[in-house]
Amino acid sequence: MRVFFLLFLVFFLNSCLLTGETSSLRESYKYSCLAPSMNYRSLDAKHSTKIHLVAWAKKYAVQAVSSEFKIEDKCSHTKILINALYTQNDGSILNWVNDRNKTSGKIKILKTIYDTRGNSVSISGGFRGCREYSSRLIKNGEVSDYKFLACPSALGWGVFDDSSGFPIPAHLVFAGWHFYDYRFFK
Amino acid sequence: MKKKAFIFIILFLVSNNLKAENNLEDWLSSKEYRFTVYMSKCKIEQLDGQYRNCNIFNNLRYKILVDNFELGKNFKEFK
Repeated sequence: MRVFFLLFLVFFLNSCLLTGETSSLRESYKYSCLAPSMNYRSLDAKHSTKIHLVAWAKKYAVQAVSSEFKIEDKCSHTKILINALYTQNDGSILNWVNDRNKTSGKIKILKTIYDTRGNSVSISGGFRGCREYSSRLIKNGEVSDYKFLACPSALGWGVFDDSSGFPIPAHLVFAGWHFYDYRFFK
Repeated sequence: MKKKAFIFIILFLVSNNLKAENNLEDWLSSKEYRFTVYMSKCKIEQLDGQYRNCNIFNNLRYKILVDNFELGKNFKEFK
């Protein structure tokens, strides 16, 4: 029993406490397969370390017992995400299917926020160039929907604050985008 | 019988792994992967001396943004 406890402790320390990242997230970083919805629980737990320590512990526990998509699926989703953010018009949908793993995913670009006056002072409340998109993941028939705001630069003070008045950090900075979880806008 | 079952399981796992590696290989050799790595690192110095990432949505005015965005110019030009 003691050995089991020690092994668990070593595994836990190695997997997240020392690095702040789970092994699956490290693998996603290694292959640049970081689509936020695919790494949602790991990124959410990491994101919580910047906001609330109690929530951090709870979220780490949740992500530790959750089954994740395989790295190949994460990469497929990242591929259509990058394609969608940089090339697709609002309303476009891209998808992928993996019959072997019985998994699939979709990205839909919902909206792009423009600065219609075309000058350097944004009238779009700091959201200029941001793209709203939804992400749908299906694994063994189970559907998960996510919504993100991808911005070309970090959103600053007064744009995206928590209840204490501090700017909420992005969930992820990746491939030229700052990804914000849309639930913080509710 | 046990030996056959064992060999079958090993072959199944190996073939599964090879298929997964094929999918991963597709990603690692794709244009999107190279573009992703490039855009993750790329920084441009602004007139004020600050650095911003190279995302085409960063600085552009409405018309330029629409032109580039509709054509997917930034992405298509990357090789």
